[in-house]
Formats: sequence, structure tokens, C-alpha cells
Amino acid sequence: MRKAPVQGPVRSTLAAQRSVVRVLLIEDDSSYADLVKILLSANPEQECEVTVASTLAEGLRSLEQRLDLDAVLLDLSLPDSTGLDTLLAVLGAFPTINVIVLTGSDDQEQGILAVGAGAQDYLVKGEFEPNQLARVLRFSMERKQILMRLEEAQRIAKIGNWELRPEESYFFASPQLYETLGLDAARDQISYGDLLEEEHPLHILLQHTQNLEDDEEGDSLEFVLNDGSKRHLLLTSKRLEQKDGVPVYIGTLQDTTLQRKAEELQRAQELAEETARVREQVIATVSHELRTPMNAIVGMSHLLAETQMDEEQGQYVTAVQEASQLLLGIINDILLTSSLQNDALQLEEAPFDLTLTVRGIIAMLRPKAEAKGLQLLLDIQPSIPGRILGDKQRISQVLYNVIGNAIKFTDEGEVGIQVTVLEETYSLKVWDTGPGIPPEKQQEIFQPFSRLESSATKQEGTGLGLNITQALVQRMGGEIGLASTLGQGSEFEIVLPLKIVDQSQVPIVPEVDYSPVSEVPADRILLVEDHKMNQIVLKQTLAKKWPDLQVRIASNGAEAKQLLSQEDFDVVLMDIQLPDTDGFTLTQELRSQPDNRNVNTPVLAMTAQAQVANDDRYLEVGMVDFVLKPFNPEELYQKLTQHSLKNNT
Amino acid sequence: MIKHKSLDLRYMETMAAGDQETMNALLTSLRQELSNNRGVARRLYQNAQWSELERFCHHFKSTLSFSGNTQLINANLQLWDMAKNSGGNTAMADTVLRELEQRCQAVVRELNQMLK
Repeated sequence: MRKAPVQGPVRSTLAAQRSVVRVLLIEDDSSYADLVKILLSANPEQECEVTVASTLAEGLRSLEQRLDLDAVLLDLSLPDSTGLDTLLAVLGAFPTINVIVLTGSDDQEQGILAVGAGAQDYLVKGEFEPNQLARVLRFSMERKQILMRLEEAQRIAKIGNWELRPEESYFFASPQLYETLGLDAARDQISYGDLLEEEHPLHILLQHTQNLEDDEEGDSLEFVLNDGSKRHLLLTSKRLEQKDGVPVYIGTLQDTTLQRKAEELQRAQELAEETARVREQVIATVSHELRTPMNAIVGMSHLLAETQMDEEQGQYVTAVQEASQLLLGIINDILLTSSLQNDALQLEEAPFDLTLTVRGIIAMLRPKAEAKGLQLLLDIQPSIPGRILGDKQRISQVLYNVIGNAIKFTDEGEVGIQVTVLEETYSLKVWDTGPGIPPEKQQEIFQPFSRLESSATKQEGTGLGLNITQALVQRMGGEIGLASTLGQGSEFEIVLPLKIVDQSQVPIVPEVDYSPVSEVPADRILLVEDHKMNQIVLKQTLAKKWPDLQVRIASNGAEAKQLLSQEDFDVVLMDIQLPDTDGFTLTQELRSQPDNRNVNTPVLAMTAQAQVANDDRYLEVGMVDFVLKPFNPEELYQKLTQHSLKNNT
Repeated sequence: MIKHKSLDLRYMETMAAGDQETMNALLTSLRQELSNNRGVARRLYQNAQWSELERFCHHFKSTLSFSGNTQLINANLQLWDMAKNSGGNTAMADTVLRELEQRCQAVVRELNQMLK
């Protein structure tokens, strides 16, 4: 059994939505005008409000004053205008108005032409009843509304439609099509005859319709408007056959310029991204393949340096080592730049001592500064928190780059470093008395591979240092600024977010990464060792290497505490087993006393237990390293040198 | 390199790094350590002071390293293990303690000869 069709919602007509239909009657014959008014008042469907104008001019004035008119009944023969010109005058001034033409009985042809020219319908005077008038009125309003919506849709979509009837030499194009071609629909009306001219821009329509292989086709065109601008158009054509077999062609012309631009931009962006990806992969792969053999060169030259060689051979090996270190640095710079650009770099956030970190970098670079006769000045604000959160390695790298540059480019005078704390940030300033940087170079120097040549020397390096520095600072949420005056010097300021660590929760572990070897690594060390013979051995071992080194000895925990509270030490050697306590406990107590003058002094464990290396306890209590018993003197010397506080101030 | 009947000073000489003054100080200190600690291990064992005995053996280990006497070093290590096990076997402990005391006396005699 067939299901009854489901009735969907019925849209009410436009006319039905109006409580009163407002009509302008432009008719010079007053008696006929009265008749029409009567007919309209008898409208069975709607109440009508009629305004009468007897001339075209009067009618146009009414239209200007009354924007709420629903329809115009227009007599084409008026005192001040006749024929289609009357209609065109009204539509030209008010293109969206709904016009129904009134024609004479012997002039129906004109009515048909009027509909073709834009009127919604025509009525023959004396040949219509109120019902018919009402129906024409209603249909004209609905059709006008539909046409207006269609035109608006075309305008929004930038798509115009056209119709071509070659047999009838007929061509129609919607207003949007004219708009698309940069033409005025009223002024630049295109006829079928225009299309026949080969120079006419729409001659292509004829060609397109004649070459249709299928009933429906589309083509992309590039069109140059009168103002010289280019538009990308999509032309579609469809062939319809009328009952007599005569073909009629309809189609659309759509402005796809914006879509085309968006597609081109999208393609360009994808290409750029792909290019960047490939470039970065190549850089990373090549750099990695370079670094592997470089590590072998560095390692082997180091081993070679430890063998017996004459002076000349030693110089050659030194040259190989220096060059390979430089090349390794360049490769690492390139790899780091690649990581930064690919957003592949992971930053750490762990507690570290900013003061010690800055001092460590300065200690590393001090020999270079002193070799040039430069003074290296350090000003650290006392209120710097003991521990802050951040990526110590990257901050160290930033400082090394900036301070290193200052030393590199300054030939005389000073390089200064200032560390200050602001409210939620901290500032690292590096200033110098170098030649300064020209204003036009001050942005350029942060670009990759940008290098400033000094007047005296050719500078080595990739030119990536400041670019890496800036990228690292920005990745850490900070900023780097530059102020420089030619002939006076430069000042770089790095401002980073300040994240303070809860000082009570974290054991203070002195961090000392950088260890330039000095003649005497310390002024004074404390040896906490109860065994007399070990004391003798240690004293003698240290005195042999550094005769001027002062060694204090504590035989138990109580003596050690007393000495630690009374004297400054650069490093402590701490035996684990003591008569009255143990080295771990003693160290932990030391670290828990912020007022102790040695709270930050590095402590090295001395133990015969090799498993200490695999046990983090010595780190947890605040020790920094260990020395195994029986002592290897060279290991002892190296570790004291590495960790001594004196070497890192 | 000096080799004696009870002493093997290779380790001590390494630690002294060829310095005779240090060597003398170490020899004197070794004699003093062995003399001062005579009978301490037995007393601690007899009193069942196991943690104190452990500490003693740990300390003595460093001392005996300088003697270079392997049997003495091993006896001390055995005693240390016994202390960790609250005394271990009493008969064996007596043997170990006797070994420790006799060999220490032999080392002291040789040191006395050297330091005359």
C-alpha cells in the first residue's frame, strides 16, 4: 500500500505576509486611474493602498519618497515619456522595484517586450477583472522577490548566468555576469550581435558552445578587464534542445579569482614548508655524518697527544686538536640551529644556581680575556635567589656566546657582566668597551650566518652564535636587546622569566661544570679523615702537587663542624666513616645551614666503596663527587681542580 | 722496593711517592697504630660489642693496608665479617683473633728494627 505523501511546511506568500499591499499607479488618464483604484479595492485577496501619479516625473518622485511600495502599475504612454523608455527610466532609477506594465489592447507586443526588459508582467487595459489584477499583483511580487534573491545569491557567489539562442540571435546575461566582467548591465548591454565579433570578450561563449563535446562542460579562463586587472573565471555551458530540435545554450560564469589566489597561496606555503623540511633534514643528516668522524679525530688526537712526541710533532697535534674542536663547534652550531628551526629542541626545567653558573662561564673565558689584556668584571646582585628553575645548559650556552663575543671583538679595556633580579624576571647584561656595532648591523647580527668583521682580525665561526642565542632566549620565554654606540662599546641584555625554587625542598648542590686548570686550585681545603696514616698520605700527595695549598685536617665530625664554621674552604674532602658520625650526615647538616660560610663549598666523598658511584646518596646529601681509596693521585688532582670553589669564582 | 718477612711496603712506598720523610712518618704511624690497638679487637669481641668491632675492623683495614701483610689483612676481614654476624663461630673467632694479634706483633717487631 502506497504511503500518503508527507506534507512539508508551506511557505506563506510574500503578499500574504503583507497586511496592506502598497501600489503606485502611474497613469495620466484620471478616469482610468479611478477604475484601477476601484478594481484594486475590490481585491479579494488583499487590501490595497493606492497612490496615483499622472506623469513619469511625478511617479519617480513618489518612488523616491515611498520606499515601501510593493508594486508599480505603469502606463507606458505618459505625457513625459512613452514606450519602453518609460519602463527603462523607472527600472534604471529603481532597479529592484516590481513593475507591471499597462498596455493598450492594440499594444500587447509592447507588453511582451516590457517583460523582456524587466517588467514582471503586463496587463491589457480594459481586459482584466479584479481577480486577474489581484493574481498578477501577487505573482509579480513573488517573482520579483525570487529574482531579487537569485541576484543576491549570484552576487555573493560571484556567479552570473547567461542564455544563448543562436537561432533567435538572442543573448541574455544576468547583472552579476556584467559585474564579473567589470561592465555595467544597464550601460553595457551585450547583444547576440556583439558576441559575433571576434574581439568581443564574450565571443568565447560562441566558441565554447560550438565546441561542446558533451552536453555540459566547464572551462577555466583568464580574463583581462578594461582596467587591466586579471580575473580567473569558470565558464560552464549546457546545451538544451527544444521540442523542435533547436539548441539553446545556458551556462554560468563564475569569478574564481579569490579561490585561485587562495589555492596558489596554499601551494606556495606547502612548497615552502616541504622545502624547509627537506633542507632541515639534509642539514641534520649531513651534520650528524660529519660529527661522527669528527669525534674520532678529536679522540684520536687526544690519545696521540698523550704519547711521546718531539716538539714539532706536538705542535702539529695541537693544531689538529684546535682545528677539530673548532670544526666540531661549527657542526654543533648547525645542528642546534636546525633543532631550533624545526622546533625539536627540548628545554629542561630544573633547579640550578645562577650565580655559580655565571661564575663558571667567566672562569672558562677568563684566560681568553687575560690573553688580550682585558679586564673581566662581574657584578652580581646580592639578592639573587640561591636556586632558580631553568635550563642551565642553555643559559650557560647563551652566556658563553655573548660574553665570548664581547671578548672576541674587544681589543682593549673591559668586558663586564651584571646579574640583577627584577620582579618576575632576571637580567643578564654583558657590556664591553669594544668598537661598537653600526646601527644598520644591529638587527642583521641576529640573522643566521651574519658575521661582523673586526678591523684587526678575521673572526672564526659560522656566524650562527647570536642567531642561536636569540632563538634560545626566545624559546625560554625571554628577550635579548642590544644597545651600542660606535667607538664606545656595546651592551647586550638578556631578560628571562624568574622562577624561584622553594629553597627548603632542594638540597643545595654546588654546580661546577667548568674547570680551567690553575696553578693552585684552592687556597685552603678541609680534609675530614680520622685515620692518621691516610691524613699523612693525603697531605703529602697534595703538597707534592701544590706546595702552597693550605690543608686543614679534622679527625672527626665535631672537629669538622668547628673548622667549617670558622674558616673558608674552597673544597672539602670528606671520609664517609668517622668515629662520631658519618660523612653523609655531616654534609647534609652543612647544606641545611644557610648561614654557614661553607654552605656552598663543594664536598667530595672519600671512600673505599666503589659502589658509591652507583648510589645517588652522595648527591642527595649535597656532595658533588667522590674519590676512591686507595687514592689515585692524578684522579685526586683532577677532581680537586674541577670542583674547587676558587676555580669557579 | 723493600721486602721483609712480615712487611710488604710496596703500597706504602706508592703512597709516599718516593718521599723518604713521608715514608718515615708512615712507618712511625703504622707502628703507633698497631701498638695502640693491641688487644682492642679481642676485648670488643669478648664484650660482644659488634657495631664497635665493625667500626674497628673498618678502621684497621686502612692501617693494615700499609703493612702489606696479606694474612693480617685477611684476618681482619674475617673478623669484620664475624662482627657483622654478631660474632659468628666462637672457636673460629679465637683462631682469627690469635692470627691478628701474632701477626701484628711480628709487624711491629720489624718496624722497630727499621726505625731504630
